Amino acid sequence: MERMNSPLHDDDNDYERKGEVVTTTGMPALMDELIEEILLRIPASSLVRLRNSVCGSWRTLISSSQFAKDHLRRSMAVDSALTHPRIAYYSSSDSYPTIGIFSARSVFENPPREPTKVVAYEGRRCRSIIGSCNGFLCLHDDVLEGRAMLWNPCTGFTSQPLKIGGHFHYCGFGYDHVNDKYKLFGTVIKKSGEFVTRIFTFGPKSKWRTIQDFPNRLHHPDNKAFVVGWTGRFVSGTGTLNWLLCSGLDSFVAVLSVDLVKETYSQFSAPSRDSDDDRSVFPHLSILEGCLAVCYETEKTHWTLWLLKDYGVPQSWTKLAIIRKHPPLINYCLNDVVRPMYMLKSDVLLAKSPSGILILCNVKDGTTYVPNIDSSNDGMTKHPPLYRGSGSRIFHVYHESLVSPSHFGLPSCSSEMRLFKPSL
Amino acid sequence: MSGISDTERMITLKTVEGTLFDVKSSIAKDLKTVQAFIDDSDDDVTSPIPLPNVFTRELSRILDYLNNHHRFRSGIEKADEEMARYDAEFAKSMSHEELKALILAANYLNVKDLLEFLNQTVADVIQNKSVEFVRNFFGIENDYTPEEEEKLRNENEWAFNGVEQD
Repeated sequence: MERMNSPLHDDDNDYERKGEVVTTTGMPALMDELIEEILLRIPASSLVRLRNSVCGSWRTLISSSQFAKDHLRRSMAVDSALTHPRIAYYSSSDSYPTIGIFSARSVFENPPREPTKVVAYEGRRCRSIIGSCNGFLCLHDDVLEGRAMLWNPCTGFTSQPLKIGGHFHYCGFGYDHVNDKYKLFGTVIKKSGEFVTRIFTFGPKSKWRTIQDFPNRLHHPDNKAFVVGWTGRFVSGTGTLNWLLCSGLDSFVAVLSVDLVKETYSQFSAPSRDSDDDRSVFPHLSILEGCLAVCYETEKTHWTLWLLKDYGVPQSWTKLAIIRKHPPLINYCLNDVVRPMYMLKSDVLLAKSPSGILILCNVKDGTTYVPNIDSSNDGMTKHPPLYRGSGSRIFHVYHESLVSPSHFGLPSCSSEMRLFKPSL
Repeated sequence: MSGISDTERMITLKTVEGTLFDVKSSIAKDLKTVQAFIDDSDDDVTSPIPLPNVFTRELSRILDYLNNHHRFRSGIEKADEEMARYDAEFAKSMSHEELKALILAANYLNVKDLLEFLNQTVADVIQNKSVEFVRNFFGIENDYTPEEEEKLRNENEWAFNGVEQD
């Protein structure tokens, strides 16, 4: 916002423009900059509703690339809970699954006013969600030539399905903040049996670039470390996708990352596991409060959660919580860690228990409870309802935004994803 | 003027209607526009500073807000709750027209924290309201033709698809 240098000696023009604009009702009107400041503080879903309806200049403003970026930056900086985080899930065992979405924050209300309802969507071109970033979900259809599509569930727009290739092993979706580009990372095995690593940049001339091989078997003195999990975790603002490296023989744990901007790899240490811990239970990497978080099983009685407060700085690993194992967390004796999904204000954690039930853990007093989520309309009829188990559901957290494919040169479609209406 | 500490110095402000307000210089610091004027002046400012864009009603509210917030911040702990309660009452006490007038004044005087609070207040008011309400609030004319409106309504159908509000 412009500030005048000697405000008490107004030019007449300035005075008229800044103070005395009057509307049809004769009352003072707020200038465009002030209206914009107000609109930046409104949640994306409300802005989507107002965007097309109020007037032409609001439509231009709210649809603009700069406004979407300012809005996203502001809401992530002030309080990412303001971005109305949502959880999107699909079932990896259905051939063309629906995608169920529910509000992360409404799950934390205790006691809840009413059950958190899941709303489901369906599309022709989607068999999985690769990752989420800046309000986009990257959807993938790995059949034949394979298609990828960026979908913003808040605005409803998708990119067109882009020919991208079929089956990825290691993969991840993220944002190159230096070049303002959304990128997909994937390792594939070519027909020749060769292992190739590539980065795909979404844009009008979208294509793959082959980069140095993903070092999934290196970076450990005895070459016996391996990567845990297929999907890299994107850390906002760093341009990196991250995986855990573990050793089967000792307590070594590290983070392996690919920098989507520089297209290089690096590695830094994570807290070691205790020497007595069961090494067959792999730790789990997730993103909490915008940072990398690792959850370890410790001494068979509890799980320890660490948070990397400063990305890339191993000294900033901070013990966030100790979660004791007790019912309903260990109804089945499955050998796995609890998988954190979302944390509200460093107090309460939403996680998936080893038995696949979504639970809320209060990290301060250790209480756990099962949130009331109504997944009856999610179209996943072959799976138990969410409060009883996940089945083969895979969850992704995303934050609502106004970013659209048209902001980076890809035409926006509004018809690829539709609301799913369960047949009665 | 020597020997008088900065925080005790009083500044006099004059509104459009000619009303004079004596303001402690520690409070005047939050009126960044006024502070800039003081900083730019070569000599000590002794005569009332005229504010040709600010009415008495608005300046009075702004000073009330600042005085209270200074009090809350300098006092003992429990102030956060009291401050939140004061803020809620402050926002509720104004009509929409008074809210807009106050935003214009706070913007002119460059009172950052108050402007932030007022912008958020308006955002909270309008976010779930109808399009008609929003147009009325800002005094905006609908510049769409009926055909355009129909076309845009169809494009916008997604927005009413019932993703649950938090």
